[in-house]
Order: sequence, then C-alpha cells, then structure tokens
Amino acid sequence: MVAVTLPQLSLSMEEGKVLRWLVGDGDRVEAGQPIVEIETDKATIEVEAPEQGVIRLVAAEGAMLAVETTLAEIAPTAAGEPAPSRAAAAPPANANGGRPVASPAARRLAAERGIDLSTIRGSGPGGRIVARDLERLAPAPASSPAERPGLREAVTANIVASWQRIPHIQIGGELAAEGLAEARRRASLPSGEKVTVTDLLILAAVRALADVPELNGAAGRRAERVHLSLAVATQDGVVAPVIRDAGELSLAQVTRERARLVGAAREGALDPHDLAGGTFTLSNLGAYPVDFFSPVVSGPQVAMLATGRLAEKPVAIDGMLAIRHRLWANVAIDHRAADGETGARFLAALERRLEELPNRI
Amino acid sequence: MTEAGTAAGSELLELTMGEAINRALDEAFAAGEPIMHLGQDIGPHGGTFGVTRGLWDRYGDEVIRDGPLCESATVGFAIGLAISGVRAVVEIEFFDFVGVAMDQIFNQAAKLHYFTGGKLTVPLVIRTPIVARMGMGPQHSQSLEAWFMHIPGLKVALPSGPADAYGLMRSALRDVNPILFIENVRLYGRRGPVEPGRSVPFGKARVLREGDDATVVALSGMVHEALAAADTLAERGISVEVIDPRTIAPLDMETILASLRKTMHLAVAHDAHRTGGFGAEIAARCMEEGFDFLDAPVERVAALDVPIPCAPNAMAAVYPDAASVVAAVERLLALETADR
Repeated sequence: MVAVTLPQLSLSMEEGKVLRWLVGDGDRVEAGQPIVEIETDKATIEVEAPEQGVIRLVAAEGAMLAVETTLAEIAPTAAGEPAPSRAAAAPPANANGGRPVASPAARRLAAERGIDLSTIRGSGPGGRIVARDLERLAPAPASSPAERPGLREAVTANIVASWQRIPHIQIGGELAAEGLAEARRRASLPSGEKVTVTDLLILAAVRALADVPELNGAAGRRAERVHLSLAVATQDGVVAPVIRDAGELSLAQVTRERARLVGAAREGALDPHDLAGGTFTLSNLGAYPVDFFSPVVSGPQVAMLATGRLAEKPVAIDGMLAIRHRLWANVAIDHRAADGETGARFLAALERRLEELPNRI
Repeated sequence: MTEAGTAAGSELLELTMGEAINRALDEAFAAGEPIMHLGQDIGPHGGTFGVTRGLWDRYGDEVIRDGPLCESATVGFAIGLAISGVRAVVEIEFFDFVGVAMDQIFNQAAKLHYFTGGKLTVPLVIRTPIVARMGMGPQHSQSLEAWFMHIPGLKVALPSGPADAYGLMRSALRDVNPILFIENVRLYGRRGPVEPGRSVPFGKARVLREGDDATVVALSGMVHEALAAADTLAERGISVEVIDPRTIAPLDMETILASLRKTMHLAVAHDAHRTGGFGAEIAARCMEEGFDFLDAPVERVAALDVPIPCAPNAMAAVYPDAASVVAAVERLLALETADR
C-alpha cells in the first residue's frame, strides 16, 4: 500500500480541505493522475497519484485535515509485487554526472518556486548554487501580506508538477486574423470601457472550444462549461484567474470580468475562488514582439492556447501578394487527453471564429 | 552579609561571574538543607581561583571543606553523600584533572539512578574550571565538555556570564541528577547584572544577538569571541545571530534549528578540540534535522587537534578567536576575505 498524504504546499500551510474526489473508491489510477482537489487558504490544487494501482479513498469530501494526513491508499496493480517507491523510481543522484551542485537549502527553494537548477549559475564555493542565487532570480515576495508567498508557491508547485508529469505536444500555426483586427476597430462599449484583443481572443477561443470540446476539461474529464483561465503577469509571477462560464458571456461582460480579474491579480487581491476550477487557459503575449511560444499546460487542464502579436504581414492570396492581419496561435496539449489532430482542428475552429468576430460581437 | 534566598524581582546586583557562583552556593548553604561542598583548597583558602572565598568563614567544615589531592576519592565520597540524602558539590581544581575521577563520574554517578531502578538519585554538582588561554600548558588548558554530553545520565552546563552562572547554579542545586558545571576561568572576572532569586533552566538556549545572515552557536568563552565577530561583520553589513546553548545536556536544539531555518548558515565555536567536539554533534543534528535549510556545510570553529602549547604565540595559533569566527562566516557565505 502506498499512502497518499495531504501535501504541504506552502511553508505556512497546516491544513487543507478535501474539496472533491476526482476518482472513485476502488478505481484504477495511473501515476501522476490527479485524484483529489484540495483547498487551502491560498488556492485550490489537485493531488496526483504517486503510483499506479487500485485506490482506496480514506478521507471524506469536505474534511479539513492536517498536512501529512493520509488521504487515500493505493495498492500496486501487480498483486504481491511491491510497487516501486518514488525514491526507488527516481534516477540515482549522479546518474548522468550532470546533476547541478546545489546546497540543500537551494534545492528546497528551487522546488518551492518551480525553478530548474540546471538553468542557474552558482555563486557559492566551486560554483555551488546557494540560496542567494535563487533569491536573485526570484525574490521571495515579502512586500505584501502573508498571503502572497502561499499563492505563488501553489502556482509554481502546479507548474512544476505539470511540467514533470504531463507529456506535452505543441501545435501551432499562423492564422488569418483580419476579422480580429476589424472587430477590435469596431468594438466599443457604451460605457467607454476599452475592449482589448485579449477580450476578443477569449470570445473566439471559447467559441472554438464549443466546436472542439475535447480540449475543454480537467482531470481527464471533458467539461460542459468553459471556465477560462487567463494568464496574467504580476510582479510576483504569473497567475491565472478564471473567467467563469465564459461561454455565456457577452463581449461587454468578458471585458468587465477580464478587467476585474487582471486588476485584482496585479494588486495581489485575488480571491482563492478566482483561481479555482479553470478548464482551459489562454496566455496572450501579443502586447510584446512575440509570435510563437510553447506554454506549459496548467494541470489538470487539458490544453493551453498561446497567442502572439496581431500584425500585418504580406500574404499570397490567389497568386497575388496582399497585406493582411495575421496572428500566431499555438496550443499546448496534454497528449494523454488529446492528440495533435485535435489541436489542429481547434486551430482551424479558432481561425474561423476569429474571422467571424465582426459579425458576432 | 549575604542575604540568601532572596525572592525574584529584587534589585539587580553587579557581580562578577565568580561572585555570582559564590552567591548561588551561599544561598543554598544558608537554606539549611543538608549540603556539603568538597574540593582542593576550597575551604579557608577560598579556592584556587577564589570562587568559594568567604564561605568557609561563614559555614565551616560542616558545609565546605578541603578534600584530598585525589579526585576519585572526593567524587566517590560525594556520590556517597548524595545517595544518602546530602546534596553534594565538588570542585575539581582544573577540568583537566577530571580524568582521575572519571570512573566515579561516568560509571557510578551517571548510572546509579538507572541501575537501581530509580531507587537512588545522585544530587551531585561537580564544579570545574576551564583554564583555556592562560598559558598553563597541555595538561591544564583543556575543554572536555564533549566527553560528558556523550554519557546518558549526566547534565552539563557551561555559563558564559554572571547571570547565567548564578541562575544555572541555582537550578543545578535543585536538580536530583549529577551535573558537570563547567566554569571558564577567564570569565570569572567578567562583571554583569544578576537578579537575585532568578534561576536559569537547563535546556534553554539564549539568543544573545539576533541576525539574519548566519548563526554562530558558541560555548563558554567563545560566546564573547562570537559577539565580537558579529560586531566586526556588522560593519560589513553582515548580520550574525549568536546563540549560547548554556547547557549542552540537555541541549536546546529547537532554538538552534529555528535560527538555522532563518539564516541557513551555521557555525559552532568552542575552545575544545575540533575532532569529536560539541561542534561535531551540532553539525550532525543540523544535518539530520535541518538538512533542507543548510546553504553551506556547518563550520566548526575549534582548537586545533594538537596538545595546547604553553608558548603564548603557539597557544594563540591553536585556539580559535573572534577572527576565526569571522573567517568561518566568510566561508559560510562565500564572502571575499576582508583585509586584515
């Protein structure tokens, strides 16, 4: 039996609430599969199965438990054969001889902040990576209320888990975006609020998900509604507040909700509720000279859409050169949940939805 | 005339560490419980370093008397007193002479309570001075505290100033266990405020100076070297936390680990030799209980592993000092070495 315990997600975390089981008692689970949603005072996260096997649920939904409390037990699949422990499964420390030399404290900080030690240059004796190297790279957000470090740690923990556990595929293409450009020119709200390209992308992406619902979901389950996580850069790093029921919203409502969430994110005033329950993420770096980037899917979601700048480019149309608005879109997908063809269909749907925007806002 | 047994909260007294120990003994003698202090020259002469001065005049041979030039006999006799209901205090003239009494201490005093299934207790305080840095040579200069923290059944105190010496001695004289009470001769003359009636519990470290960049856990005389080093480093913008464990058995590991979690850099400083010293134990405990908070290997600031020389220049090279602590913190933080 392998015990699944309530992890400590931040230094200050002492307890967490079992929000929802994502698997049933007696289900067969895969290593890395999200099995339960845990709510802390900072954020909602999912705990993944450390081993594959048959799970026995121990903790009840709604229970508030101390960290390290057993949530479930997993019996290794092959009966009588002990499941390899995580430690045994991990490669030996110096297996490839390329393990970065880092102090224990640096390793702890890197893990907490989701930083890859191999990308860091150490300033300690003999080039050892020490704590201050990580402080320089990503200073602990100490300026604001105690809340922030917890939030940031939860977010980075999720990035690390996603990067390590999700087999990614990336599908991208340059899409026709004349409709998007036209819609942006025409869109104006009576209230005078500014409609951004991001708002229009949200609208088009949500509609494209209606066409390709395979990419909308969490934890291996297709979601009926679209709760769209929007990646927002803050001084403490990226957070992804959720626009709830985005498929039901008008452009004006999307604009208003987007403005509220971005404002709250930048002020560090997001409610944990604002961060929970997303089913698909949009990350738009179009404000920068960026065309293409390949994001990390935010587990347990299935996919993330990355969009670059909306720009005029020369394109060949019917044998003639023309100047048209184009936009790079790239979708990162959890390959366990969907495949490349699904991503390609999504991009086709997105292009269509972008082009029809002027008529549907 | 000393007012023995004064209640806590009285006015502060300015005492040297020697006077503070004398006062704690005086209060215990005056309390009227059965108690006896034995040791070479502690009677009419007042002790080799003058700590018991005046006590024989007041209490006489019934309470404080000279022992023979034989530590094993003195400690053995004191254990006999202790198990028969007389609180015993022994002074061993130099810490280095403790070897003569070793079987009595680690095989008898430390074991009797256990061996008799708790029927006997050994309320025995063995006072002994560290005579480090005084040019007394290899047989009169050693700091042997680690020998005793190694033995279950013994408690070990090393006060670094008057208030702690007074308060720890008060606690020692109420304890029912054998205690090594290690006094540093160079600190006997150090003066400071002492609050009459205030005991210091065993097993509670004292944070003498708070800091964020590195922690120095220092024992006895090295406490003051560590504080001087912290002053030096503060001028360079480096903030050092200085902790005096005060007793090494029991040991307040909580305070040390809390500091390590904050600073992530830790050095241990003591006059004893490096190998197998108190610092080795702290380093091991930090590794076991604070591994994820270590940003550099624990530094040991200690005497070299050679006999302590008589010659002052050679002796200075063997003992650690404030500069050794500074150098250790520089290594911990991978700082450029300051010009000296």
